[in-house]
Amino acid sequence: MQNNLMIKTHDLSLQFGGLQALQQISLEVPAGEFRGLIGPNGAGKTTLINCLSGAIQSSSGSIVFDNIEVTTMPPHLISHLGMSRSFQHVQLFGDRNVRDNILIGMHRQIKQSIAGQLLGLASSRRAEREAGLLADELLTRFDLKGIEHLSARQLPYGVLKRLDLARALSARPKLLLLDEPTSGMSEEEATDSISLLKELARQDGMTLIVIEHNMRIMMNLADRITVLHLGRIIAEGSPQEVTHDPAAIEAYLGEESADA
Amino acid sequence: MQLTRLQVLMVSTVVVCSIAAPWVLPTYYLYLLNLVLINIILALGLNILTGNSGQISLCHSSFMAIAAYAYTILNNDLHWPILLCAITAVGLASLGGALVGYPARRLGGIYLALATLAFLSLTQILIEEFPDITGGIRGLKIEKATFLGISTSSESLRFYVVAVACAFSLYVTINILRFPLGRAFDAIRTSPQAAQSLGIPVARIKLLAFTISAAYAGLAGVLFAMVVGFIDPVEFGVGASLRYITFIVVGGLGSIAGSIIGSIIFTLLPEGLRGVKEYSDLVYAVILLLSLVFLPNGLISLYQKLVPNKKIAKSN
Repeated sequence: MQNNLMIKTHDLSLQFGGLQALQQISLEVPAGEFRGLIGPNGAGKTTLINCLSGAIQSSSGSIVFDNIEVTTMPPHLISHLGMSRSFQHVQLFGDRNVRDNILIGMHRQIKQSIAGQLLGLASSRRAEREAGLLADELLTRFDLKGIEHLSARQLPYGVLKRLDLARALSARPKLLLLDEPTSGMSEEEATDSISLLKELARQDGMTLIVIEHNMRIMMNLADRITVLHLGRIIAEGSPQEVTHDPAAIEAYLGEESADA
Repeated sequence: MQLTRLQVLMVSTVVVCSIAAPWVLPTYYLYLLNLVLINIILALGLNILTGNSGQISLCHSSFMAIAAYAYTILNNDLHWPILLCAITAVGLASLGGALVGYPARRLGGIYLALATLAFLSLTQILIEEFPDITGGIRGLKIEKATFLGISTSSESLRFYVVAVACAFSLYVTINILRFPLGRAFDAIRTSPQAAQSLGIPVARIKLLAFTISAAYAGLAGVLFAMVVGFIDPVEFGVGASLRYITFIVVGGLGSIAGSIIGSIIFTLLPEGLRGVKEYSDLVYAVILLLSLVFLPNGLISLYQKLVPNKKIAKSN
């Protein structure tokens, strides 16, 4: 069923000078799936997300997002097709308050003419009010109500991560790419946030690709897991299959259990 | 936008004072007030570009020059109605802004500063090289015209026009900052990557910031020509552009109040220092240095520091 694929890459490769950051990545994620992306440091997980979202152009190969070829498209256009992402190191807009950060995430949905905005016409005010209601709803869901007027710079890291997640969701994307959404959160916060995310994703039929180091969370919540190592996919399957895959254990899971 | 009672009171005070100003103030002070308001318009526009969207411009005096010369030439030679002259002049200035903004989409920091400096030199050269049209280095005198049946030589008419233009600019700036456009400006400054991934067309927004900001400068240029009555290229040189940067840096980047405070202080300061004329540059420099060292976020940060303290004091 070709049509049900949310994202499909074919032989995606990326070279930084002599370094082969990604090698022939062929990834297929069906619509509505929660896909985990794991691998040791330097495996190319973040690079893969950068390629998918258009932040970095791949050297060769193709990316098809929701049946549209996006390989050479600039990131803001890919975003308009319904892809959102978060960043490993949160990239919030520090001068703006929490609520504005969410509203910036909704930029592509708020349709307002430039003249309408400059002159403060009624149509712009209405669009702004409607967007505000949606933003307030997200603020409540992510437990950010009450701090919505603080500027993002004043917030602790865990809250920033939550805000980052809320902002990525605010655009109601079809596909959400999350780069370590729970780093810096406590185990409990992390589980809560990811479950909330999964629930929201299910309601909207959203597809998720999540880089996450916390294997317990991954085991419970991911539908399938892809394991990357040195820029290649070395294993793929259900969480149970992956934990028993010798290549995956050798590259990543073994390391993890040795650490613990 | 809900106004608090204090804000309503402040706005009405300002309105009443403005209406009364031409009847109360001596000519010279009215002239100074005009210059303050014109500089506020320019600073508001520059602050949107530099403070919010994070792009430096050393050619805002050129946008001002483009509009001032266009206005004067259309008025003197073609005798267009002055409102039409003004709109065309502002339009040409923002076209100039788009021209600079186009390469600015890919330039940042020092490279953008140099590109805008090149644009400034270019306009200066063009003004000086076509003395038949622009009057060259000798400058141009603006001929009288009528607006709403009143001659532009009327001081009160000029003041009211400037005051209304300034109020309009302020209103537009407030709108920009509270709607998606202003959020996009702040977003592309703080994190272009995140902005892009959220669907904000960074290049287009940068270009838009330049175009809009140049329109403010254009408006300031038109009013300057009208109020001063005489323009020459020296008025719009690199010194002027640097002075405008000083306005917003000392006042507060990305803040409307900062633009206003900076413009007021640095327009009136040279006048206040007339008594110690030989030291005026020194005083100017000392104020600039002190504010950069002790208030890197501008004079406005002083207020921001004081206000939370008040709130805490109250709750105690």
